[in-house]
Amino acid sequence: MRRVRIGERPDWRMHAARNGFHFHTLADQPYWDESHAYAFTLDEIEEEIEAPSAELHALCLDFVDRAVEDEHILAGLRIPRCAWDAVRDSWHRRDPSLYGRLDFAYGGDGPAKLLEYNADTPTALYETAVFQWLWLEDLLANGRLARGADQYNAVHERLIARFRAMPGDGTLALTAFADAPEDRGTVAYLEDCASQAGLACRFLDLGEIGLDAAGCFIDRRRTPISRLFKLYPWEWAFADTFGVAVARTPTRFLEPPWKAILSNKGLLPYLYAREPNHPNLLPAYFETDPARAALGTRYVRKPLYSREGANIQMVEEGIVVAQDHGPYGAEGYIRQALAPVPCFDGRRPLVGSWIVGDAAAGLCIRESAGPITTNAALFVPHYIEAA
Amino acid sequence: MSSQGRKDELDEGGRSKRSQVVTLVMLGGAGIAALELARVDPSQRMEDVRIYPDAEACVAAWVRTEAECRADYAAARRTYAEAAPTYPSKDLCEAQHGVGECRSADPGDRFVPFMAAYVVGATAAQKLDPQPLFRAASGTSDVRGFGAFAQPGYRTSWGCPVNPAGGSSSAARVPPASVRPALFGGFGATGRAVCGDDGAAQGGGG
Repeated sequence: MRRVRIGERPDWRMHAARNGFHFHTLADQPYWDESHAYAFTLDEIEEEIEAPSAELHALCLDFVDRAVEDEHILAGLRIPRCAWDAVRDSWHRRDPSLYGRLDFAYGGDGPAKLLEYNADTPTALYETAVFQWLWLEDLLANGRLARGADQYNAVHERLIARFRAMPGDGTLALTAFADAPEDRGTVAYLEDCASQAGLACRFLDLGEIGLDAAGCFIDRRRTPISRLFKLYPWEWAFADTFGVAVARTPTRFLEPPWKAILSNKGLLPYLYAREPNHPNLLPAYFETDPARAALGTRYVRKPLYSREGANIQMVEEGIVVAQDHGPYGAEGYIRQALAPVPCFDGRRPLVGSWIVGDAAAGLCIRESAGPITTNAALFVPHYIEAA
Repeated sequence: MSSQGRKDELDEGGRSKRSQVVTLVMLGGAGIAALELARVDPSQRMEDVRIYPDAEACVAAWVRTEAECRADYAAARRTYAEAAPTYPSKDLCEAQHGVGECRSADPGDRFVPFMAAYVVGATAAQKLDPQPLFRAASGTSDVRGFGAFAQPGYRTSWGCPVNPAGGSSSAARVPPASVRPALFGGFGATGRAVCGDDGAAQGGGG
């Protein structure tokens, strides 16, 4: 794995405009950055990212199977009791999932270490699946990358295939906060994929979702929603007024409610307890567990629910050395052994490994200046070096 | 509105780790704005209903039993007490519902329309809760007919027009949205609260 100063294409903004990529700059800060790229060997991709991702995802599904039958686990994950039936039933029905992103600390010099699983509402999807792909094609076409260079990125075609295999009545509603540009862009991309898979799609702002007397979620025209993709985390949905209706509704969701078990930092101590010698798992404990003392004075403290690095504290020698402030944490914390994201030229690339359906499907890198990857991270493309 | 890339076919002969083709059908070019054109408006099933001014009219129609008529009417009255639209002045209320159609509510600084009729499902299998109906002032509803032959126009408490098919008939066929109440706005509050003022810009993705 190398960081390569490859130089940006002078006309990339024109490519972005042509392909609907309007959030490459967010709040006047750059987000897409192609001045450099990360290069991997095929072995690094296949042996150290793709294979462990598939294996960890399978381990996660195994854990869900156990968690839904164990009230201690559901309670320990702080999933509200009123949501347990929704979580359980969705798993027992085998409601299909769409996608997720495993985030790893990886630098090419040892096993990738799982930091967390964003299994419910991951973004950075469009930029991975489309704009990063177009970047590679462009650099191959103009000879700036050697013939034979590749990219670990089958996300786009896997998403369409997954939508094509989705059971139901051939319709899909999609929702998010319509005024959040990155979220809206991600949902617009998924709507595009679903349309290509033959689904009749419609977008609704979260506020446009209604609930009728029969318990079905509906749109403003009172048309029942048979399946709803929501870029809105389950822990928020469960806490909302409509949360209690999820267990009884005929509406189906992407991601399904059982993903609440995985998109939760409480997953990490359970996985570690189950596979303490797994090369890709870091020691992790609930903060209420006395066994956490095994971590000593060097660890990361994470709220059970948080996104984009918010409220994460990095502790070395018992002292907080880095933290990102934010609104999470009331539901408790876990502690995880410190596995710093490796440093390349002073920058720290977090490796995001995409799962589509139940298969590992591609990679994205978000690069930060500091040790915690936040929503200010830059999206940097990657390629696989020609053999 | 489409854009497409196809993998350079000369770049390799063997297996590949990336998509063969990446096509966007809606995002290309105009971006998200183009999506609005692609929205689907599925046709809806319709709901057969009966509209009666009061329980006596229902009994006289010989469709339901007297007990059913009285129970339906009582249910509509109960809903009326909670769900009647309120207005800050009599003028505003009468502008919507017609002169003489409004009374002061409790507390007395608000005004509500009288319950002019109620609507029930044509059959019990529809499981339609009886709903109070209010007069629609002329010009505010899609009242059919002309001049002296105009039919009374009604609206539900949430403002949907519900009108008899014509003549002295009590029957009507309406979209479900017109007669089935629903709640909106039950998703999103937690997200807005967690994210604070810039929650809108940040959203729920990560």
